[in-house]
Amino acid sequence: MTIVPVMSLARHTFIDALRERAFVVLGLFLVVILVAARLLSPLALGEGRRVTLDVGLASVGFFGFLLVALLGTRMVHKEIDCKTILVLLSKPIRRSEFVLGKFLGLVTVVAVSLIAMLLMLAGILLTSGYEFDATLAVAGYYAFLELLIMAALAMFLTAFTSPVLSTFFLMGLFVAGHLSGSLIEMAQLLPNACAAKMLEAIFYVLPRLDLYSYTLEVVHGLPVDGGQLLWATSYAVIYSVGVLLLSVLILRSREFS
Amino acid sequence: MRAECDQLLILDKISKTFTTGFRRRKVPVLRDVSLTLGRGEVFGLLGPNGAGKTTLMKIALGLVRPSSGRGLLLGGPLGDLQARERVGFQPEQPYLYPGLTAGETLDLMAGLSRLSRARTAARIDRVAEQCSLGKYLRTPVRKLSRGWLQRLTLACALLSDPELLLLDEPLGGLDPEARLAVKDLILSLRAEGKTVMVSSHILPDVEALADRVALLRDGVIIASGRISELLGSGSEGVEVEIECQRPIQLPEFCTLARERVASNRARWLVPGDDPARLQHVLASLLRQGASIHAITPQRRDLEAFFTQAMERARTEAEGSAWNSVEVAS
Repeated sequence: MTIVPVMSLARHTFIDALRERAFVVLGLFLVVILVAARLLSPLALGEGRRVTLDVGLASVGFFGFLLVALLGTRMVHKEIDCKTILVLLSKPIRRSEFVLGKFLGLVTVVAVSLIAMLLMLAGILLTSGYEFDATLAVAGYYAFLELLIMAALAMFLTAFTSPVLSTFFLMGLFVAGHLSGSLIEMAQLLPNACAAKMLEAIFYVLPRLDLYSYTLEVVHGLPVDGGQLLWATSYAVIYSVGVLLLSVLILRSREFS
Repeated sequence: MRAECDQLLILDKISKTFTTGFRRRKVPVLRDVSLTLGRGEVFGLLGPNGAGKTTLMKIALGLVRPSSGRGLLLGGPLGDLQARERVGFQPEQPYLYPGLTAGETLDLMAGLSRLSRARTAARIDRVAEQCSLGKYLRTPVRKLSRGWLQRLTLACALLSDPELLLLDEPLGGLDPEARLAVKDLILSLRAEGKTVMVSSHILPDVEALADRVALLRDGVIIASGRISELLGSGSEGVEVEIECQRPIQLPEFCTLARERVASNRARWLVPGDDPARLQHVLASLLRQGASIHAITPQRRDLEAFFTQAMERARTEAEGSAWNSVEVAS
């Protein structure tokens, strides 16, 4: 794998995405939500900080997910549909470099958006006179790891389905991923061993997004657990690499007529 | 091996069948296509829509896998990564990112072509000059007209200074001035020793550019070779425009070339390029009191050859279809 074409593709994917209208619309919606949280917090009977943080972090996560769903699920499909992939793959670029370049471009958009959203939230907390500490940045990092997994899944889905179906499946995986922790508990309760094994297999295939909920720790100012952070980071990287490898396999088998 | 290096593209009995639809219907697109591209030549790929020209280029680039047959691209397998570093491809339609500017598009393509930062700047300047894109480098792709988009895709193909260029309808959508500029550019590339494969519907342009051509119909090469060989002497005969006051008799081989020009004027075609035959006809005309207004040699061009070859192939295909029916019944 060569770094020059990957970085070039990532850079221009980022530039192209920033000029997408969907990006601007999402940004405006986020501003509206955060301002609403700021205006409503005095009504929360002394729980203004908690409400602002709850709504703020939930909005950051949700808008990050929407961004991945809107941009990510069209990323490869749009290239195939608009046939820009013909021009790209006629150049000396491997399909694995193509997938990685597009993925890194998407992840950069997500990272920049997350930083902007967190800065906005921090600004609202500051102007409201509410305290916050470095755990807010850790929450942002956890949100980034979760979106990294979702971005890889979006790339995988968009390699073989339409954007509408990709979005649909991605939403399903997002919900299932947050509930995946319960699957293993459910498997232990099942009387049928075969069904329990199946549920266990599904647990290992689904992304463990429950690892990335960090709102409670931020609200209560709990100390950062280094071990959990390392585990969450490793899981996100390994899961994303695995999913991206599957995307490469799918793209390698495809012809572009 | 050396011989192979002089042949930049070798396609040997390439066939391609696409499977489409829910019922997995098989659609043959190419059948036993063999051709070679030598260094420093312009090769014209001609054929109606759906003949398989674009598929052939995509097979060379590895975007589509052949169903059977084999080939070499710059000495490596078809679609080989190292070979693609030395190939430029211009697709039929300008498939580009509308959100990027022309300059950003070229920068992206330079990155994908693995050019260093220093070389990128120099090459962008060079191709912008070659394709007269200089003043549009900061313009978003979505705001460029079809002609400028066509030039931009050509610039993208030229960016890595490739040895082999595969240009799919490079003259489509261009105004006459731009067409002339692109034709000049292709000829200058040939003068630099580059090899160019051009697919086009505009036959006079191909005739002006190409050293050799191949005619594709329904995925089969029905004729190929040097244009001069295909057109033969190039002479279809001589057109004689005469004026006469009374009916005249002409040898049977002469045919009325066009509609009567005026009530007492007509154009006759004397087929072949035998000067003795022409002299015989002219003497006969003068003897009968006709006055000769013009003698114009009629040259057979690629367009006429293309039409005749297509017609011949169609007739043969229909004939074989009838034979099949007879055999079956």
